[in-house]
Amino acid sequence: MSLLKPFSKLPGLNTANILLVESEEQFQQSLADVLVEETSVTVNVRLAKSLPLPMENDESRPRIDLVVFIINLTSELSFQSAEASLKYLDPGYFLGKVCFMVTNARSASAPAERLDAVRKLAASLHCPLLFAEDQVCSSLGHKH
Amino acid sequence: MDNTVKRLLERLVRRIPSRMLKTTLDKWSRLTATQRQSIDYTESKWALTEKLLAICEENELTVKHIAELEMIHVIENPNLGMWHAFQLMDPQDDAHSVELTQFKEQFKSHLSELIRHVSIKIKKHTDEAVWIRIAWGDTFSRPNHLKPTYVVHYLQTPYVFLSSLTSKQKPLLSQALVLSTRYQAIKDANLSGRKLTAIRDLLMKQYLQVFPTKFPSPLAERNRVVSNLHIEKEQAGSAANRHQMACEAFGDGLLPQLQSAVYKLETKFRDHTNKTMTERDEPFRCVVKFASTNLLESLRHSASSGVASTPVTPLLSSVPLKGKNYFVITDNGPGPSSQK
Repeated sequence: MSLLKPFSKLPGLNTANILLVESEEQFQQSLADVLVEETSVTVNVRLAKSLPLPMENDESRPRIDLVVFIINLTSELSFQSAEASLKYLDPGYFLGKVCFMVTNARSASAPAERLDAVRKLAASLHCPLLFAEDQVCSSLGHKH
Repeated sequence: MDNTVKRLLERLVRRIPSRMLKTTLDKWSRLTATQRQSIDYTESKWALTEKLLAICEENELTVKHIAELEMIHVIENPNLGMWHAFQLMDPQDDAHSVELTQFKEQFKSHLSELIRHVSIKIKKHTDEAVWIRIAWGDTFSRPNHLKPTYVVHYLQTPYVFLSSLTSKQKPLLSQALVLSTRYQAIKDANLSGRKLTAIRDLLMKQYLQVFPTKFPSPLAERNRVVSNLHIEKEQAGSAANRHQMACEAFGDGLLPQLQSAVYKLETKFRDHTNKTMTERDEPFRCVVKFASTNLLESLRHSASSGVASTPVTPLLSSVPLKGKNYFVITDNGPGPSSQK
């Protein structure tokens, strides 16, 4: 099984490589655009829909320092895809190199059971759970 | 003033938005220049109706003239109402050379033979479409102009689009159409929608088609779009693949706007865990309806994003391929089969 391994390659100098995994491939693009703006370190972002990652990229892929699973709470498919992708990560990642990010938590179409399930999953794996939205201030009716 | 004229004009003024009223009336050209200038388009619809009624009375306009005005409005706004597509079958030898004057004469004479009181208006639009407005009467009553049927036919194609036709009127209209176009039969194309232009474009394939190709981007080096050197897509290949298959199934660019697709299932129930249902003899009847503001766009997106598996199932790709949005699925064939 093609597990993604955390320590099989050398780290980059002053560089961080983040892998964003999102079934819908939407939010990850805007998040990536913001992450690479970091100036004190070089941040490289890799985008994927799910794991496992294509074998063709194994050679050229740098060491992944952080894996973020982005789950859209309004989509069951999004949650199931993230869950299914977990088994393609080497257990070594779960020692502080994985985090869960949840979007649309405030949406009325996000059932409470799904958020509970995500919380349980994050807790069982000892991973942090972050909440995010991809709305800009102006769309919430605020004036700059 | 005739009551029908009043009612028809009132309804028409209500339907036409104020900002379009001036242009529509100008196109109509049944009013003199002075009359047109005397209309104040900022007044309320009620006031406008009264003014127009007075002018029509002055000009002694009849219901046929108001019907003309209605036709102008409908032709300018083909995407209102509900349109159904029909297809003419088995052309005779001279079907492909039927031209406008012949069609007009033949259609009018055939329909008038079939039904005593009928009012027919035929108009050719700039885009090769022939528009027909029919007000139906019967042996005892005059044509009802408040419930007209509109027919659009593209000469030299087998396609006919109908709006507001009752089941009683259908055989009469079908007969007249078949005889005047020199075909032998007409059948329901199982395609309907709110936008005439959309169902026409779908049926006549007037949108961007994508053909299967082994090498979608031959000049990869030149075409590379680099958004940011620090961002890389791991699965760009499979994403491009999905997108290609989605476009092959549904087309590229702007797609004709369909509002729904209906699948009527008459198949045997198949689920090993449910004995009661599988043991029944009769087929399991079920209707599945997909609805959207732009159905084809939604289906293409669900295929390219991976929600719908690729290659796209023939059940979905049949919508653009066969130009239909009503399917009856029975156990006989592997793919969707349709009935009349």
